[in-house]
Formats: sequence, structure tokens, C-alpha cells
Amino acid sequence: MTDHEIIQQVLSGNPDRFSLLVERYQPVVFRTCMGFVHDQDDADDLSQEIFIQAYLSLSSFKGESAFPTWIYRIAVNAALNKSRKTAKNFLTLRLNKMLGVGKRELIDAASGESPEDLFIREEHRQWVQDALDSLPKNQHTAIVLSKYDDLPQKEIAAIMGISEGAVEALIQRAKAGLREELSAAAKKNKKNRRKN
Amino acid sequence: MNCQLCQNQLETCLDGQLAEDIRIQVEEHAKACPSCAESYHYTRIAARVIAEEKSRSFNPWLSTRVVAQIKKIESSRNSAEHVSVFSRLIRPVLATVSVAAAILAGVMIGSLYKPHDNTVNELPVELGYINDADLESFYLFSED
Repeated sequence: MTDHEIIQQVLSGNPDRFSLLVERYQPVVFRTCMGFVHDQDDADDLSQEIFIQAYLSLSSFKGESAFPTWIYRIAVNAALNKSRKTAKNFLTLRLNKMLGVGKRELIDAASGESPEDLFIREEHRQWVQDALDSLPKNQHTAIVLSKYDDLPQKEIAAIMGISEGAVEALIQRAKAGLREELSAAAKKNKKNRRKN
Repeated sequence: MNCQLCQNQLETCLDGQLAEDIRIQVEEHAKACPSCAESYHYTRIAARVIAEEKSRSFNPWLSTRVVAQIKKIESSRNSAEHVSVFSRLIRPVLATVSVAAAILAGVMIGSLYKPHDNTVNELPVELGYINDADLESFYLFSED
């Protein structure tokens, strides 16, 4: 059954059929969310919000673009809004970090790795997440769609409403920005260790 | 191989999708060039973290949760539609009338209250007949 047929069924009063679309696009929406929120539970909650939002605005979907493109747009906008709100709760996040809230992944990952390796891995994870979040919105979006969702540049261009050349430029700038941020984080870390 | 070419190939090299001879060239250049070695290191860290985040599993019950939420939204929509036009119109009118009645009642209750003032007019008439001159002492005013 095609996306279009499912949408027609949902719009004609059979909302249960929407679960087919959810099952079909949940993996990609979840990966996109992970690229912005970096937390499994938050990404699940955000995915749910995205699908509800998609359902509520389904009648406005005219089929001018492909359904995946449309759902990606909703996902990216919702994820950007969410990460903006999260940035506002910066103090809470810092407090959580200090108290060790959200370190479940660290404990889960304890599969034969030495504590030192585990610590380094967690540190690297934090560096990459901070580096990604520090990128400008459009670069962040382009790199997430490219690296998390493995989308071709043509599709990223359709989602972001820009040319393929612009997507290529955004991705290159994002990669350079990531490397710079990682390098800065590593240097800062070295300095802190020397102080201690 | 120059730095630009090497840095462009780093990710493909890490993905294992580079031809063997080019991969060797990239790795040899990265060993010799500190700047490219640093880029190689950070690209590898980023690729590993992104791969780790991508591999996280999503909630298998999401579609059930979404459908339950949709049903809730639909039922609240339907119940909102069942509210009759009459009650939709009468509710604001009733609210307005009750507010107006409350204000009117307040004004009426307020007007019932008269402040007490001890003016002569209000003194009992009998007081006029009492000669209280004897009660007053002129001692204080006298010389002795």
C-alpha cells in the first residue's frame, strides 16, 4: 500500500491506518531526532510529537512533495524548536550533568570496556554533541540529514528548500566546524587536566 | 597527495569505501602531516559517535502510543462538536448577565450603608432639657 493510499484512508475517517505510516517512518524520524536531542528517551518523545503534528496537519498535505520529504520537514522543524527550548534550559542540563542524570548510556555501555575507555568514550560523545549543537541551524540540519539519515544531497536540498550546491557547501562548512570545535574541546580538556 | 585532497577523502577512508591504493596514500599522508593527522583523529571520533547514536533502538510501541493519542484527540474533537449551538450562545450571555447582576448587587448593598456621624441634629431631643451646667466644674478657671 502506498503512502498516498494510506493518507486517503486516514482522511476518510480511519485514523487507525495512520499507524502504518508511523511504523514506516519511525526509524528515520527517530534518527533525525537523535541528531538534534542526542538522547533516546527524548528522541522517542519527540518522534511521538512529530507524528501527532503530522496527523493533525495531514489534511494540508497536498502531495506536491513526497510524503517522506514532508515528514522530514516537520521532524527537522520540531527538532530545531525542541533543541532551542533545551538550550533555554541550559542550567537544568548542567545541573543534571553534575548530578549524573542521563548517564544511563554510560552504565549500559559497560560491556567489557575498561573504566578509562568508557570515560574517554563518554567524553568524546559529549564533545561531538556539543560541537553539533554549536553549529548554525542550517549546517546542523544538513549534517544530520546527511550523516544520521544517509540522505543524498538531492533529497536534503528538497527538504531544506535550497539548491544541491548550497547543501554541499553547508555540509563542508559543518564538517570543518565540527573538526574545529572538537579540536578546541580537546585543547581545553588538556589545559584543564594540566591545571588539576 | 596534498592536505586538501587528503581531508576530502578522510570520511570515505573511514567508511572503508576508498580504493586500496588511495587509502594507503591518505593514511601515509596523515601519518606525515600533523594537521591532517589531527583532522583524521577528530573525523574518526565524530564518525564513531554518530554511528553509535544512529544505532540506538527506537520505542517499538510508538505507533500504539501515537494511535492512542490520535483517538483521544478525535474523541475530544467529537465531544466538542456535540455541544449545541444554543449552549454555545447562551453560555456567554449567562456569564455577562451574572457579572452584571453581581455588580448591581454590590452597588445596592453599598448604598444601604450610611456612615455614622455624631452631629447635633442626630442627638436625642431629651438632651436639650438636661441642664448640665451644674455638672461642669469651673474650678480650673478660678483664680484661687
